[in-house]
Amino acid sequence: MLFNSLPFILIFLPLSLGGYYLLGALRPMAASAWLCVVSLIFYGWWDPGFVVLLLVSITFNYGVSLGILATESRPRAQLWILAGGIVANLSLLFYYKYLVALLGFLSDYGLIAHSVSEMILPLGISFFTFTQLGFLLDCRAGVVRERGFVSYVLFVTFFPHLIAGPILHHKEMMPQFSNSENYRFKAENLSVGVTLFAIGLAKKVLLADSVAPWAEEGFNQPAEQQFFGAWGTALAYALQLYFDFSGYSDMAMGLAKMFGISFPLNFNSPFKASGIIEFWQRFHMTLTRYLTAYLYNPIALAVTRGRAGKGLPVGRKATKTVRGFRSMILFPTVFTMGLAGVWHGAGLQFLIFGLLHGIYLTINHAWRQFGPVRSEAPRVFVRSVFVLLTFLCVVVALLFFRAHSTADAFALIAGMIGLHGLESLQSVFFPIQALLNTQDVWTASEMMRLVTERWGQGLLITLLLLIVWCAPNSNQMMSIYAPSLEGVDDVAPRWLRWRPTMTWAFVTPLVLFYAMLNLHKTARFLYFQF
Amino acid sequence: MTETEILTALTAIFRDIFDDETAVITPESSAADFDAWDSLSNVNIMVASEMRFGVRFKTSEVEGLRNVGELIALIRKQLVEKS
Repeated sequence: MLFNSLPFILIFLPLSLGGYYLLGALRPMAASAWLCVVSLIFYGWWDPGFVVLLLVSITFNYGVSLGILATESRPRAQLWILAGGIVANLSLLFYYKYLVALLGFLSDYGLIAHSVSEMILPLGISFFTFTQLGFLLDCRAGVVRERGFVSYVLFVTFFPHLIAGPILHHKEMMPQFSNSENYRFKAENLSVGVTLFAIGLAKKVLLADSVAPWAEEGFNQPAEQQFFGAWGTALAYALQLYFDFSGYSDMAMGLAKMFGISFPLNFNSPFKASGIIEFWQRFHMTLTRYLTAYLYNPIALAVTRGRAGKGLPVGRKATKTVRGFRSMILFPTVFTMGLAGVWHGAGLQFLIFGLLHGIYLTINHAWRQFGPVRSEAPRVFVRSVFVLLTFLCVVVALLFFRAHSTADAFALIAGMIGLHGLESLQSVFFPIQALLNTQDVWTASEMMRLVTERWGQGLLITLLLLIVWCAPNSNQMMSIYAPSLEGVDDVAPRWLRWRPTMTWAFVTPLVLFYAMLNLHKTARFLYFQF
Repeated sequence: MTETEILTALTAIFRDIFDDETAVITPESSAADFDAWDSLSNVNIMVASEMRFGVRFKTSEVEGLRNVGELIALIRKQLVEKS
């Protein structure tokens, strides 16, 4: 079921909320079980067969977690159980995500006779597998306290995060699920949740979906894009991805809030970042957090401890040497980001996307190590240059992320640096000429149509860029009620801060209904494919 | 070791890792106060603390700390367990 569909908004959501608070008033446990059931229905709506797969995965991992917890005093046995669990989870992921690509690759090179046809990817498999892998690692680390089966099922299946995150940690959710206060209906949670949901839906339906056709068109004919066409395509996609995925995350956070549950923040105005390190601290934040905790930290710790053990220096003095920089920064960063790229799917272009970001991050670290030392914050102009440079790096990497092949991505880059020539600007200036040429008589509506036709894409992209660079984000607008787990450290200007007033009570439903009126095309969220 | 002694030792570590001889830290200092406090320097701070205090952190402990105060508490806990 899609968040951006009328059956979800008008039937599924009210019923699940109603049942939840009715049962919650009687027994919280019953409300938990209800949430599990509706979440499974939510998942099964799309393909009931995969509910079985989801349940098998959950039951298996719960069993493994019991094994890990039972062998706390026998580290060796515990390690084997954990390793078995990890291998099983990754095998499932590999089977659905990479096997077809691998077999296709082998048959292309004549190593096997048959290639396999496309396999349907179970929705959200990367997300629920990652969530559970993190849980198993937490069990071994000894940070798992809650062990009930129903609460575990709820933790994994809770429908607001099931399909495309945010990627949750067990330890931040379980105390919330076990707090009986959260099962009591509170008007505040409903209003804040609905507002966040409305913002997210508007971002998805009104912004992401309206810029999507241009990205689509450009990526379908990458070699034909000249200078402006290539730039338009690249910018349209970067903006589409942001509004699509951050809109989805806002909706997820809003939905969770309606049930009295807070989610961690997933986006914090990433395009305002003035460096790539900062970008990843603001973009798909729960993935960054996940990769840092379970991949980067163990590697970096091992490398750094290895150096310390040999009596080599750690810290700034070490990373300022070539060998130190290579082993302590370059290797862990590029390795982590390379895997992060491949996580998005099989294909050279995903690997390149990850490696590009690994290299960007390494360069950013090198700048922090060797660049000029600043005693005060940079001026607005200098900062804007950094923001723009960071944005450009992200846009280029996203070309690989979206393109059908590496060659297509390079074709668009060639277009962007002018290798495919420059479009004739005559058609762009035509509306102005038409106005100035007094012999032609244009009606206002003809003029409007002409302007939207010729300038529509440029105007929309400009508007979206202004929003990502200048406007506060949803979490800042809702700052008074701090909807995310982390709270907020930046607030929106006063007039954009949501409050329970008549004005907002008018504006919020207006936005929601307008977005719902535009639901006719119900496009899927981009991150459903991962 | 008292909290103040640990804080003094940590100040030296932070100054070394951030390459900033004037850095001042308090138990409330967090990553939000230092631009240079990223995942890289976080790992370096942890390993330098391990060496300085003769303790060893779990990987899960490296990520979950919110501020210097929690790091101090963690170090004290490990020192108590060791003795």
